[in-house]
Amino acid sequence: MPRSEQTPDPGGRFLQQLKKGALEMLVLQLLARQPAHGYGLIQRLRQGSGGLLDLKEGTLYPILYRLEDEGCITSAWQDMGEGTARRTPRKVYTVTGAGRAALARQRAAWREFAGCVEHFCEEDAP
Amino acid sequence: MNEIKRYVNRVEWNLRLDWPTRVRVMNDLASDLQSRLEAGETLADIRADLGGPEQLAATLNEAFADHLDPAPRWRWWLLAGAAAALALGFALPALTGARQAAVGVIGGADGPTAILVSGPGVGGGTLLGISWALLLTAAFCWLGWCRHGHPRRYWLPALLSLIVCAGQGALLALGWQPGLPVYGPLSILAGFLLSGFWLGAALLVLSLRGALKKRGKRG
Repeated sequence: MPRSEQTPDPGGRFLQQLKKGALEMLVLQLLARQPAHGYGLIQRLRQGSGGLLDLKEGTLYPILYRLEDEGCITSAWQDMGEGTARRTPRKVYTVTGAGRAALARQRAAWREFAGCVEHFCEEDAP
Repeated sequence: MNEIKRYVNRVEWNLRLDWPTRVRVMNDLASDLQSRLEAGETLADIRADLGGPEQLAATLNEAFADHLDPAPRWRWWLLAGAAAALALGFALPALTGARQAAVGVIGGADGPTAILVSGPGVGGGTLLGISWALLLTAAFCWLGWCRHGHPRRYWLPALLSLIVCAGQGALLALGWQPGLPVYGPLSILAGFLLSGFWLGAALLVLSLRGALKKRGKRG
């Protein structure tokens, strides 16, 4: 087996952990801008990140359900095909007041954390 | 369109999640797959992105590891068995004559089962079929339905088992006469096993224990 296959990918794991920590906040952020269905969120995350945040349904749904169970978002079936002959209902998620408050807290925590990390990185920069 | 429906059905078939989570996931998935189709994606695109239905279901099962359904899938065979027992219990006597069919259903049973099948009124084979249908339904409920929701759900298999055990006990008591021949231990054991009394007793104990345990967990 080649050596490259044996060694773990620390860069990939690091990025994965970062994504995991930030996704909940990003989903709340996107929903705070505009209500969306699951696939809409996946598309907006993919396009907005230049492909870096390429989520699958299996990753998104647990986040959505956790947020919904915590009362940060709500879901409702809505007709999405207005103006067209065929109307197909979609499950659309909307952020709640509690969700907006949680988002504000998460953004403050993120800024503080990112500032702290940045501070260390700058200190050690050559 | 039929292909996408088949894809969704295969995903659902392979999901091992508890009922509320399964409904939630399938609602979102149906909604999102529809969005993908309307965005111009084909089934081939969806397969390339999400994988085949088995793969997607495996991913979802892994993502919702805390919501996996503890009920085994083979429990559905019990329900099929219950229907078969009921059908046999009623169909065979009707086809071949109650008394003759009753003996046919149980083969060469003797001992306590012989008393059961030679009981008065309704054919013994019919009673045996009903007993097994109730027991298999009780086992089906105990394995799946009872494990979710209120502890009271355990009362259903407990009640069904109790009916069977009490009914068989009553038949045994009513059918026993001093003149009946004495059977060997193997015959008695065979009759005991065929009667299903053992399963009824076990299910009764397990259901009561399940109800108490669940009530304790709910505090």
